[in-house]
Amino acid sequence: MADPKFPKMENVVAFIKLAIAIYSGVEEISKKTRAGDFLAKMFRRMKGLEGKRIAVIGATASGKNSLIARLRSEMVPTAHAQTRGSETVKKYDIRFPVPGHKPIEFKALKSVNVGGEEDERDRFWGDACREADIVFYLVDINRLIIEREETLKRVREDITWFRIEGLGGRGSILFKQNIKLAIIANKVDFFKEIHKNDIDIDAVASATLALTSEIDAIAKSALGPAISWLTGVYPLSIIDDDLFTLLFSAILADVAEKSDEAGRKGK
Amino acid sequence: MPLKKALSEVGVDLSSLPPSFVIGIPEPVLKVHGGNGFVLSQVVRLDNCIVISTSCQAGLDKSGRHVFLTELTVEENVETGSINLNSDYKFRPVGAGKEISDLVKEMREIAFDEINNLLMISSRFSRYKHLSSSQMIGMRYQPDWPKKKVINWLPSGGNYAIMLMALLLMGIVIYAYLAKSR
Repeated sequence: MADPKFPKMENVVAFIKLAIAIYSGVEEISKKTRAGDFLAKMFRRMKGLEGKRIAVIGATASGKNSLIARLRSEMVPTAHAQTRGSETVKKYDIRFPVPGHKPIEFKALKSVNVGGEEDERDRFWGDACREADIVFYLVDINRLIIEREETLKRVREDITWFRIEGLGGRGSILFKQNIKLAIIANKVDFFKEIHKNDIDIDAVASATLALTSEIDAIAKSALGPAISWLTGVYPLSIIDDDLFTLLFSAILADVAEKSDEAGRKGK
Repeated sequence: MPLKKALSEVGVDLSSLPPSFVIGIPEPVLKVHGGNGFVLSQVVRLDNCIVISTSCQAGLDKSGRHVFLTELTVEENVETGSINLNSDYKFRPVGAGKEISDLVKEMREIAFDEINNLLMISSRFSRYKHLSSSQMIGMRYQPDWPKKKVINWLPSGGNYAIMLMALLLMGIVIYAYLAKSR
C-alpha cells in the first residue's frame, strides 16, 4: 500500500493516489498518527461550513439526487425517475460520518431539487443557486470518457450560465458575492477496481488528472471575471461508502478553507 | 430536440412558460399516481397561444431510469383551443417507430376528456394561466388549477362553539380536581 500522505487538493495526482491507497480501509488510516492529525485538522476546517447553504446542480444523471440522498443519510437511489422542474425538499439535518470522530452536523434549510436538462438549467437552477454559499456542480466523469466533446460542451455551457446568472447579466438573478463553485468529477468508482486488481496507480492517477484538468481549464475560461468563485475540480464516488467518506471530507475541508480565505479578503 | 429549440420553432419563448409547467412527470407526482396508464395533462394560456402538454411513462432507459413521452401542442386560437386526436406531429423523437405512434395515440385517447375539461375551465376563467389534470404534489411551483387544498386548522361556525364548550368543561374538571386534592 502506498504511503498515505495527505496532500493539498491542488495536487490532484497525489490526491487520487491517496484515494486509491486508502481504499483498503479508512479505519486503518485513521489509526496512523500522521493521518489522524491530518483528519482532525481537516474536520476542524469542515466545521467552518456549518450553517452554510449548499446547492447541487449538474446535468441529468450526474448524481445530484444521490448526493442529496447521501447528505440526508438516506439510501442512494439506484434507479428512479429523472428530476423534472423544481421539487421542494423539506429541511433536514446533515450528519456527515467522520472515522474516529463524532459526526459533523449541518443544517440544510428548506431547499429545492432541480432537474438537469438544459431547459431546466435556464428555468430552475437559479432557484437553487440564488441563496447558496457553496454550489456543487456535478459532472459524470464516465460520460467525459465516452462522450468527450459533448460533455465538455455541456460543462462549458453550464459554467457560462453560472457566470452570467451569478453576475446578473440575464435578468435579476445575482448570486452571493462570496459564492463558491466546487466542481465534482463524480463516479470515480473505478478506483475500487484498481485497488482490487493492483493496476498501475500512477497511470490511472495521471489519466484522471488529465480529465479533471480539462474540466478545470474550461471552467476557468468560462468563469472569466468570476474565476475567484471556483474552488477546484474534485474526484468523487457517491455510491462507494469509503471513497465517499474520504473524498467528500477532503472536498468539504478544501471548500471551507477557500471560503474562509474569500471571507477574510472580503472584510 | 431540446425543449427550448422546439418551442422557438413554433414561436413560443421558453421563458414565457410559468415555472410550474414541467415536461415529463415529476417523481413526487409519479409516486402518488404511478402506473403505466397515468397521463399528466397540462394547459398553459399565453398571450398569443395555448400550449397543451400530455405526458406518460414510456419505459426505462439503459440505466433503469423512467423515460417519459411528452406531446406538446401549440394552438394559436386562445379561445377555441382543442385537441385533434388524429393530427400528425411536427417534430418527433429521432428514430421513433410505430411503438411511439401507438403510445401517442393511446395517450391522446386517455387525455382527451381531461384536456377538453382544462380548456373549458381555461376559457371560463382566464385568470388561470396554468392548468394541470393532477395536483403537482411536492413541486415548488404550483399550477393555478387545480387549486391547492387549504387545510384550515381553526374551527368555524358551530364547531367553534363546540370547541369552546369542550375547553370550558375541561377547565371545570381540572379546577375540581385541584380543589379536591387540596
